[in-house]
Amino acid sequence: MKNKLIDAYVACVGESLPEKDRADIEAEISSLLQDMVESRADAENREPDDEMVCAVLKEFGEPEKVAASYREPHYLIGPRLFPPFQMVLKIVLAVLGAIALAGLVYTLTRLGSVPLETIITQSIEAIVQYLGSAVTVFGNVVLIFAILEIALPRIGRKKKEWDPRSLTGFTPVDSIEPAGLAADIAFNAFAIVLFNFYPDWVAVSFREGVGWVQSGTVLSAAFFSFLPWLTLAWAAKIIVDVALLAKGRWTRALRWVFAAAEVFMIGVLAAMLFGEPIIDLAEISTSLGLAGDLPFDGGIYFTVRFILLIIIIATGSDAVKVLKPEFHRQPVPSVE
Amino acid sequence: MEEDQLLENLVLELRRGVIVLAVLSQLQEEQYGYSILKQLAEKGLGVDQGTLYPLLRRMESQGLLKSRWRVESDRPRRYYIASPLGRQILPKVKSEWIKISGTLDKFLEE
Repeated sequence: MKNKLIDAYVACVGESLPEKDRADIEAEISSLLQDMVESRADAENREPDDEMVCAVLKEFGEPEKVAASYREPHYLIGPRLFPPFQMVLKIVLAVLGAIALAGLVYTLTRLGSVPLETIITQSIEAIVQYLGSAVTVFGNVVLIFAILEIALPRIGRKKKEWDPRSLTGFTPVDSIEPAGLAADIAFNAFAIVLFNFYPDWVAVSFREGVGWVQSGTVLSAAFFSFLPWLTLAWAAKIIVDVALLAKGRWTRALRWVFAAAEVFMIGVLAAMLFGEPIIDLAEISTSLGLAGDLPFDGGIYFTVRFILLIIIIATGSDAVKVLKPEFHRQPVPSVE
Repeated sequence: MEEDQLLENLVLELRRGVIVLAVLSQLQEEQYGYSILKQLAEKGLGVDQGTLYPLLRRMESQGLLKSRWRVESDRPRRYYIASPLGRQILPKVKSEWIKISGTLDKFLEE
């Protein structure tokens, strides 16, 4: 029994099926629908008609829903990586918002005494620009995590048969968080690429007359003198993170290597904190064709140093947290 | 309304767990998709077709079932039957089910 409605329905389901199994599933659904129509015709003791076919198709369900039931669930970002994804997105969007707000305040300050209408227009434009940047950032963060989602199972795959004896000396404090490590790897790699290859992206843009003006990079010559050391520190962190993922848990050696990498990073950051400023506000003024210093330049330099200090404290706290179990480890009976 | 929906979801989850066992037990002889659905319904386990047919394919990809196309009355039908692995596993799953069911009976009598 062939029926045009059934054929159209099956073709519609097929559109949402993976190509590999499409023909086979289409044939099966077609056969099942014909069975259902025949069974109904027998039960009602009459010939099948379009009305009956419609009733059967309605019972079978909407084509997209039926196709979905044949597909395996696929995640762009699965449950394992979703928490660090959320965390990273919140941080990045907050930083972006802070930069946009600073840009708006700066623009309004430069304009001096302006009517309320101008303030509202500038604010709306700043919000629109923030939303545009937020969408781009969101896309990039999603892309990074989607790649991690594909790559992580391969990184974490165990090749050797698991041996319970490997638990000797293991305590819960030795467990790692693969998703957090993966995010750490991604963002250290991002920092290496951004500061080494696209330093011009680290710039300030604000409203000037009818258009937006973007400065050159805000990074100073002093920053670039630290960059090789920073790159080394980021690369060291990536290597330790990859080693941790491969091992699947903390070991004494990895703890000390991790702490050493963190101490190295603290050294570089401390040198940046006490050395020449790592941003160059004079460069911004020049890029923007301004004469003299920028307003609140003292405040901006102070803020950058304050942020460096916070990062140093956070890095040091990480190192202490990782090393702590080495000094407070409970003796664990060995497995004979 | 929310309670009805919750109950429906809970029952659906419960059924999902036992459908594999029910299907495996009914496929000691070759049957086509619609006949399995009818047979399960006649014996009191109504299963949504959107659940059953994809499940049959998954069970086949897991090696629990085998299938083949047969042409009957001028049209093809896909027939399923328990594979040797499916037959080997059935008594073990059945015994697990009996244990779980017995334990739950005790819980629910309390």
